[in-house]
Amino acid sequence: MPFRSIQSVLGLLCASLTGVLVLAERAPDSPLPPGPPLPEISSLIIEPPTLRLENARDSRRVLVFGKRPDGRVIDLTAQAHFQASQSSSNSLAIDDDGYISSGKAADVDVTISAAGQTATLPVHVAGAALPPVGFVRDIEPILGRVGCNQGTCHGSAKGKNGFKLSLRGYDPEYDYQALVNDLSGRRFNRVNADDSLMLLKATAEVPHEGRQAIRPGSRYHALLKQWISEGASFEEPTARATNITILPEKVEIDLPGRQQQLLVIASYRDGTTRDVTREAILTSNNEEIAQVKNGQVTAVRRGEMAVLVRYEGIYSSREVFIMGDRSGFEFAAMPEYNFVDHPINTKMERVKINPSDLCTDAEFIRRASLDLTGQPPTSDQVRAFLSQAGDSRVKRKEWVDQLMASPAFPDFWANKFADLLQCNSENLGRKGVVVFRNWIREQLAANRPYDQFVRDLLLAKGSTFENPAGNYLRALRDPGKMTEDVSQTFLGVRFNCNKCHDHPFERWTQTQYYEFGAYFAQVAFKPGTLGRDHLIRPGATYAEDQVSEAVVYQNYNGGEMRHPKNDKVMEPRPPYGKARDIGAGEDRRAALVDWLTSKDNPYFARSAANRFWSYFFGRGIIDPVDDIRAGNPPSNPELLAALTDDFIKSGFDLRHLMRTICESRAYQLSIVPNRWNADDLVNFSHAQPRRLSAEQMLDAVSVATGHRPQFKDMPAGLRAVEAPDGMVGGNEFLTLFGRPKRQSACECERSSNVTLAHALNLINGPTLGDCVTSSDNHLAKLVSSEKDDRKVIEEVYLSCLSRPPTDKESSEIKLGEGAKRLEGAQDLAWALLNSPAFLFNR
Amino acid sequence: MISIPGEYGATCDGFSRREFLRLGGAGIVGVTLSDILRLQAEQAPNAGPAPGNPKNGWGRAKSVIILYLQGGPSHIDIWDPKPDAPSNIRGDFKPIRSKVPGLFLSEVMPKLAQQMDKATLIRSMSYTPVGLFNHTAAIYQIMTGYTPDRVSPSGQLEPPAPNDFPHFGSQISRLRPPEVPMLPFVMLPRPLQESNVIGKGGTAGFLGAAYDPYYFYQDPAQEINLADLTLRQEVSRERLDRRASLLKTVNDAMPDMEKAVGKYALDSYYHKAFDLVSSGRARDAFDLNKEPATLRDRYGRHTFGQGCLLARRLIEAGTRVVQMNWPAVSNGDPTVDAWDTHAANFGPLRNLHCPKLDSGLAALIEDMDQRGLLKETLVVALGEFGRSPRLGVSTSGNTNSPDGRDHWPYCYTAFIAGAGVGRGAVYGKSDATGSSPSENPVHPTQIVATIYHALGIDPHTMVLNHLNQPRELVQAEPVLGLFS
Repeated sequence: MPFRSIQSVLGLLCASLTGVLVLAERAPDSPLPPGPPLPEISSLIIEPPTLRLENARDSRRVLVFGKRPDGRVIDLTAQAHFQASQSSSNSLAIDDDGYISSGKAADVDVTISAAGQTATLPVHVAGAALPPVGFVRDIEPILGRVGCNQGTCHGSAKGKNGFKLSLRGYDPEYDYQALVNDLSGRRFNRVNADDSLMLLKATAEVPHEGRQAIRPGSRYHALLKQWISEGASFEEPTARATNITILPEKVEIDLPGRQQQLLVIASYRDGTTRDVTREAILTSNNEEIAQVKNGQVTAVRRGEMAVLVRYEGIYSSREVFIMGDRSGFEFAAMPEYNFVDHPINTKMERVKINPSDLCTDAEFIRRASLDLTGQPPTSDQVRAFLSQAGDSRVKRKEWVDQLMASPAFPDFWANKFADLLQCNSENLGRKGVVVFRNWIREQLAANRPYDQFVRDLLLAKGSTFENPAGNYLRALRDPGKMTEDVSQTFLGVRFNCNKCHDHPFERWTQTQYYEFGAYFAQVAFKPGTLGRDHLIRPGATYAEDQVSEAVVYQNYNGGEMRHPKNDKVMEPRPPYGKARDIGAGEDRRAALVDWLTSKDNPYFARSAANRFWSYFFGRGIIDPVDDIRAGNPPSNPELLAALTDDFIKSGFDLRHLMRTICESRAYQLSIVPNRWNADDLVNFSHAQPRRLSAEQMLDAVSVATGHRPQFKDMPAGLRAVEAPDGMVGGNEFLTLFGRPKRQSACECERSSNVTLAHALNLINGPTLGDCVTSSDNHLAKLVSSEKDDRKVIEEVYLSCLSRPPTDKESSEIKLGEGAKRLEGAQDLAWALLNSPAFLFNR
Repeated sequence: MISIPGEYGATCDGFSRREFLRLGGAGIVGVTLSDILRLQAEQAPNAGPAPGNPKNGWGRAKSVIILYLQGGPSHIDIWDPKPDAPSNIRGDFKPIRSKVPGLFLSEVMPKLAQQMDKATLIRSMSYTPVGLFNHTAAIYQIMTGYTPDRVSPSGQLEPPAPNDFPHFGSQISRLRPPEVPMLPFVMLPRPLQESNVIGKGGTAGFLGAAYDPYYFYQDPAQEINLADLTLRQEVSRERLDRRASLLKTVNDAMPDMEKAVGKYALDSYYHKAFDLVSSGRARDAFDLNKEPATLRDRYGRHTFGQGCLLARRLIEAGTRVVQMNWPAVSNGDPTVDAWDTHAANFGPLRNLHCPKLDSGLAALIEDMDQRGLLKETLVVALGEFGRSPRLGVSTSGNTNSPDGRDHWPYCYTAFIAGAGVGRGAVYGKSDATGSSPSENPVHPTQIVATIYHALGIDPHTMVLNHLNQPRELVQAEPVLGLFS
């Protein structure tokens, strides 16, 4: 198989001469499921239906589909047989992969046969000229394909053994100079091309640490050789491909083991196109669902994945859906409560998933309370909600409104935003975190539109004590971190790779990084005068609060962003779209925020809508939410588009967005899966249990037991979500359960796993233990005032799990007599707090 | 208390449902660990002849201590002095004699020099990075035996994922569970971390969360809080039992809930946690106050030194694998004792790092040897790479100060001792400038293979991943020449 040999060449490219690296060579490829038997095929469909070959170097192939009697199609490209019509067979060459080329201008019919059917492909050969080989169009893609310019070889920052190429070929001009001019042009022998060092090295005829990257006699070898013989010329960099198209448009594979060939067609400025499937890099974003080799997707199991395609700095992806055996499926749509449910229904119907049932009222009140306010309802609230008569859907709506109107709502979301905005005392000092967190909370309490909120953060000036919004830029400090964190937080795009080189998996370039950074280049800080008098805690020393006020100001005289390669001063420019000009004497940030927060910015509203969706479902429509790129497509684009449009129309109203989500049917589905959605994780067909966050868990223990642990240096009775500082000490529980230190813009800084250490802490640690046994908690009062064991048990269930016990539970549990009765109630609370029904939002 | 028969013993309870199925439902009783190992070995297509010979170190180790010097310590300035090289290579430090004639260490390692008669230096560690060239990729490789490009298209810039290859400690805790109720695999004083990515390469990956290490988050140089491991005053053993059975009653009534959170392996954690709390074994092991003050002083009253001592106590209590991560994360800041010395290599090494490494490692080797523990414990100290022989040059794309050294995976040194490894030996050789091995190069994945081999586990054993696909423990050969 040709692809296998390329793979092993790649694996060996950077092997050292000692040969030790052989050990790290790739494992045998994962076994793929066997191909299922071919179904009945009634006819063939060829895509594209005709082929046009421009010249003698043009070689192209087609996709062959078999049409089944029921209208569905399957890919037969791999087993298709190609035969040129008799008269012309001497001019048409068809290789093993089905690539057709010709050295003679003619019109030729190719007969394609597969699965007992045949079809005819008309091929028009427009010209027989052999055009010159161009570096940009022909050679650079080969260097990329065989791996010469990858990060571990000549593409590394220092090159390899005196020869350096730009990483993955992002700079063709540089690469050309490196090849042609380095070593005084010794890499080429234009008279006898075979003696060129460039060929001898690549074919390992002289020692090459990267071993044999190109086989003598191969197509690539011939191209390189001809390029050298023709004088190793360089056409304009504009000869680079401008776009790629992936065929087919839609990939739906019926069963594991079945395959689908993809074609990658590059288009160029001059209007020509070229089949670059063999040079493009195709990778699977989920090898467990489908694998990609030689442009061919092989289904491993039912599911959804994307094939990422990279060619000469252009990135695209093709989503693939594998249906699997769904016989017996009948779609049962969920009722559509609001507009978000419609695209979810549509998607479920397409991929043959049925939604779970509606969750119970008791489940809903707990879920919505935790999601909107970070704490579960009290037992009284649960009782009132469950006994309230009337339409459950109306009741739930009202409960959402009630939660949003409560002070716990801005408390909880201020904590969430304080994470993203990196509110920690190491950066901001003790007073800084308090004023910043309070400012954030005020914005949320007033429901300040999201775009205005972001504008305030990025445009802030003056004292960070008097205008606390300035603490955001202060926490980020330098223009580089501002570039990276602002793009990750407000656009959902990661800009950290292209600080040092063009992004290896995305279209972002290094130049764009510094152009974007130039908007922040004049943001400056100086120490303020408010210090000692503004200490947050009476009696604290100045040293303890050493990070005091800072003043954010615009430094017009200095502050330029320079490109590290050529030290050129970068003009501020956004990475995509167009920003308005910066007025004379105007703060550059003003033009930036106009561009950033515009409703026409394709990332701003969309990334926020997606991010907030993830807070309610445990997963974004694009996931991870802060890594939006071509290779990470949304699982339901229509859903994300509808949610985004609505968010923009509402005037960036965050409460409206959250209300829309909470009132949808999708949000109110049960965690219990059915036969048709048990394996679905991406289509929101059932709720996923989400481990409570550190703060939610601690606050929920307090609600359940009535005992609130005390934080160091904080007022008594403070909820965990009210603590202003990511660094607040004195509570190992919060650290253990993954509260972030707020040093990063990444959502991943917060962890939500469960390990042995968590289990130990929950069953035997001081936090839960103290809350359950403290003498001032609900349990002590309850047991002494309530004589009926059943009622005690009911109350403990309501306060721990937000639901009454079932009759079975209530009768199975015994509290004990006399002094043992309190112990029994404590043990029951302990057990409930240790059950997954408590530890998870479900 | 809830007892889980076989959870720690040599039966198959510790194995996954999938293996039960493969072995057939009827055969569970009486199937032993060795049967399963044999089965797994027989399944391996390329297992080759079992290297079962105690002379070449096979099965000599019962447990493993990894002192992971994260950041990449400078081999020339610590283990492999090059006094004859030009000054921009040899650096500021002079060589000193060790207890072994002809074996020299750098002057910043005086205590260890006196213990070199019990250990081997591998001075020919070498590899060329596959995929990206940075810390996380290197960490992933040495911990799992695989490169991160095997699991994700963008390499190692992603947090740990359930399809990651398992850390060798997780593999070992599964294939060789402890013989007593004890934490099988402990990592201290923090998980692996690099560039905001926490834990990559340090998890059980596709084996499932139940085989993750126990992350001990505390600083052993401070007073250790044992609250989680000590039975609370108001909770007697009987009451804990009662609570455990109540928890079972409560959970049994909610089967849907249990099913929905299956992937979190809560059951397994709770079982282990109950066992640990009631046996008290782990609590005692973590209690460094049980050690005489003089011994604690000898290890050094700092996180690394006390961590080494804690590692010894854990091994004594039955833990299979202890990994002590160097406390400071590599960040190139010369005021922090992190090994990533891009800037100001010498001052910090002399004053900050090496005194701690020297006292901790020397005391551990001496103490383990005196107690007879070294005979059956493999002790390995190494980082993800060495540092560039030439000062002030950039090899990784990072900037370096004129007296800094950049990453250098092409040649560096690993320290290895115990379980039959040569005493007072040097394995392999570096060239005159410490730039590449001149004899017996050793790839880091071979260290992983050597660890398995020492524990009597064939490194080529196939383990099924989460998709039931066979995956070799590691695709490398053990370094048999290390064993005397």
